[in-house]
Amino acid sequence: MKYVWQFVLLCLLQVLIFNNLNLGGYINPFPYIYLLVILPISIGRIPLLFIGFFLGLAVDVFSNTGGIHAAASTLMAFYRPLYLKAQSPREGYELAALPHLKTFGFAWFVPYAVILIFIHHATLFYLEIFRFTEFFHTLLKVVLSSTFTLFFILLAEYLFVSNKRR
Amino acid sequence: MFFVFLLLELICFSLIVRNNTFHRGSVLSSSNQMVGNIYDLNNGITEYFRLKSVNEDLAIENAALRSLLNESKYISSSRVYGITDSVSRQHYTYVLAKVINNSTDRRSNYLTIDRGILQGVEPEMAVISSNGIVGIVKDVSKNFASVISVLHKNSSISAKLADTEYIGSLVWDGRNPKLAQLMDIPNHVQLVEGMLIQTSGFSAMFPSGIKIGTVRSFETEQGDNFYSIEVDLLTDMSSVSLVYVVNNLMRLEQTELEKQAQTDDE
Repeated sequence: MKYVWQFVLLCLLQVLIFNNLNLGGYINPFPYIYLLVILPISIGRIPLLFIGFFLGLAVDVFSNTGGIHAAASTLMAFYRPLYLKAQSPREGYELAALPHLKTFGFAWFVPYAVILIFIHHATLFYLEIFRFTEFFHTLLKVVLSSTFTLFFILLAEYLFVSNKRR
Repeated sequence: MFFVFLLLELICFSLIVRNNTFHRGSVLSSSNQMVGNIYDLNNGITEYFRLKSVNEDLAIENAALRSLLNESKYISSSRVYGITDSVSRQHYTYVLAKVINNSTDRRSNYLTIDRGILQGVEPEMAVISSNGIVGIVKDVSKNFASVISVLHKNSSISAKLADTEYIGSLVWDGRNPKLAQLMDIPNHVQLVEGMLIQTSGFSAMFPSGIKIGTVRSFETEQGDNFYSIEVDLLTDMSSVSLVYVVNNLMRLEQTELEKQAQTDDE
């Protein structure tokens, strides 16, 4: 239930605030994917795919982008379990573990978030222009925007997760 | 699990493809009624921050319009004709609309306005501001419409150099929301920085003579017969807030005729 509210809140924050944030024409962060980063590790792969799809679709509807956010966040939701499996500790994850900064530490969380964000942003920006003639220009946008999304996600981690048990 | 993934991605791609054409996908776009209402609420709050510049623009436009009034003209001819004007017919009508959502930072940008079918807005109508062109209506719902901005990867607007008859097309390379590019002007034309660029009136959407921008710089690639011209847009797309939707009363007539000519060719 908590995640339903986060879904709505992140979508509204994205379309009303972050979509209007444009620094130097290169940086438009998409922190709405924070939800996909912090869903419990034990969540089933198929529910995760559907959450990714509908989260992206909700942002698409508001931004007139057809299905590019949905495509990017579905791909991200598809990749997440593969990454978690490859990185799992020897004794496996705790059943109720939440992938937070406080739970796993900086050295685990940052690469995890960076890879997911990068997959999402790269898919998004290349689908948006749909051609390779502006390859490096787009790559620069991907890298700069990813950095800012990471910044907002870390900020959220420090501000809102600190008092929780895990 | 992998098939679910493929299925969802297929849905996404069909949505992307549908979004690239006119008239489609109006359920999943910002002309959707619910999405429109949320943006309307948001705009109700943020429009106060723009009031000052909006007032200035309106005052300037008022002044320009006032100078067109009959009262502000001196009749230099001593002959007065006592006939009503049966020569000119109304060709364009205008609907005032408020921009309730706008973007300039994507490769393909859209605006949402608070006028729709009920107020006479239809797809493929032109949208202009008091400073110049803004875009073309894409989808409409009852009370809202989404507009393809000039700053769109597929936007291509027929434009001409003012005071000449040279026609080119205006496109946007996605870098700077204040600059667009004018193509297809042959390089024997004498260009000067600061030359005015207007709509040509060749498309059935924009009336002719709507201001677009001024020539900022121009160059010719070696071996190329055309200039590539950087254009300073006169409309500040990032702060546009009041716009006019242009209804060309003879649009259907013109497009039908042109379509006929094209099918006769084939």
